[in-house]
Amino acid sequence: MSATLDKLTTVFHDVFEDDDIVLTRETTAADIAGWDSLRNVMLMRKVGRTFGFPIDTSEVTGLKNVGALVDMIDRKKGA
Amino acid sequence: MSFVEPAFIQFLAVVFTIWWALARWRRVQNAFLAAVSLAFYGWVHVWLVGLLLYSTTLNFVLGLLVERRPAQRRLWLGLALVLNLGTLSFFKYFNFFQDSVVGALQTLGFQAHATTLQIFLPVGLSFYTFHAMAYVIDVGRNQFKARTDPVDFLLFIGLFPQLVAGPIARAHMLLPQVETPRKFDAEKVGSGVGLALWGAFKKVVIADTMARYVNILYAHPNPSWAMIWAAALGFTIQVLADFSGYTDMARGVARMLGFELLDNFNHPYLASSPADFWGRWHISFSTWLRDYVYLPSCFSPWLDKWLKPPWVSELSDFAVTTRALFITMFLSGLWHGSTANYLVWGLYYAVIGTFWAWVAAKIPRKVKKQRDWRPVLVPLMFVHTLVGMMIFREPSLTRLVSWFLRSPFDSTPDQLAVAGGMLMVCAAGAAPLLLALAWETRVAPRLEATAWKLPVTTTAWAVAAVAIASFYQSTVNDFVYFQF
Repeated sequence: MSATLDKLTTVFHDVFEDDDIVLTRETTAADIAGWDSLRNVMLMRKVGRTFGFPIDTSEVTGLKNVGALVDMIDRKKGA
Repeated sequence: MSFVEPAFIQFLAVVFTIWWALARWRRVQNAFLAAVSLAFYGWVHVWLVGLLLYSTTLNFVLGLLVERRPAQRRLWLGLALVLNLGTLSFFKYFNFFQDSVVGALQTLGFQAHATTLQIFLPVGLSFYTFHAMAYVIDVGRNQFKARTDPVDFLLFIGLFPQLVAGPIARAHMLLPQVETPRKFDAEKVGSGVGLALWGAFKKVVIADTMARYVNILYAHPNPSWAMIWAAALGFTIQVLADFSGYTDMARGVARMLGFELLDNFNHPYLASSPADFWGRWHISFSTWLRDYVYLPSCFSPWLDKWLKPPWVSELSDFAVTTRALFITMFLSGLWHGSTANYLVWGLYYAVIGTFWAWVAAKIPRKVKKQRDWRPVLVPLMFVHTLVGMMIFREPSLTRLVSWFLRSPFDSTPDQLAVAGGMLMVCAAGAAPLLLALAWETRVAPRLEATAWKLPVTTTAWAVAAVAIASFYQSTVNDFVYFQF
């Protein structure tokens, strides 16, 4: 598991109030109970705060799974 | 041309035959269907074709400019918003503004008269404007490549089954289907026929029958409490049957031609919260609002700067999502119409959405997981939906307020009998919808891959067709959502 995915798992536990969530790169919204629009906004804002960069709408709507989110975070951290 | 006119069946039969005869030549086939879609749209008023061509050309060119001139991306995206929304607003609100200005001047003592010019909203304009705008925005977000073939693009925007009232197509779903050769699939065609028949049944047999009784009750000058709520229940069933009926016809006809459109309804009256409701009702529009209004409102630095109390350094997640919900629902109300009830309706959904989200956040996770709360939440949400439908249906706020303030015990025996009759009509209207739900969840999966599937399905089609023919009236009501 990459360091980003590790840290992201903690963010998911916090936002979804569920410590049993196990993330893989293939995880999608359909795999996690309660991952609706509202939770998605909370999640992405928390991601922005945790990793220290602002999130843009196009980055939120373009993500297909957790793997895409990890890649986006790594790209923005490297930028 | 409406899907429930007999002329449409003849039109579809001709189009279907020529379309599949041309299946070997995709480009010719697309050009044919694009031309047919223009003819369909211009059937009543030829000038509507000009409007559709204007919208198509505008967004085709702007999509290319957004992609090819990245330095000016914001300019072209801004222009796309201004021109698309400007055209829509002109047709949608011209009469309202004219009447408001004349009314205001007359109040101030000036002699003012409205011009004789009354603009009517071209049917479908809202839907294909949103459809085309979404394409340009997606290109601007680098989520989609701008298209260069104008005929394919015209077909993508104008594909006739979804042109007039959606479902609002998204580029990533529909464009690849337009650009890929189609193969005739008898099973898919059969499934399309079944879906279209079911849609027609919902419209002609359920919605139009309910509408007759609902309209009588709503026209009553002084209905009792029982009559008001019975009529609201009737309208709630009518509008679902009407709009989901239209959607099923659109999807069924599109499937007969080899296209899959978005499903627009997923048993919305089984929703267990306002957020769940919007995930099930007019899905193509609510996801459009989510992607192009709600999410941008949540992540907008501009809103964070200008729409925030000055004494707060950073808004909480709850405050940000609430602000976005109010903006989204206000615009949704405004889109539905310029009468005050639509704005109140939007505000109502923003308030209950916020309240439910706030309560949900307060309830400990342990309690939520303790048991399945849906048997409690679904009826509670349905009552909220009923109130929403009452607001949606009645343009006079004065009447609405007086209805909500009525005593439940104000009915005379005659009025109770009328309300009881309306409830029986509601039960009759809801029964086929509940049967369909049971069919979908329990019967259809068991019939799949058995010898019973064909005879049972064919019998169901025959019953639906006979019922449609029996209930059909030549003065059939327009679809409720055509007005938007």
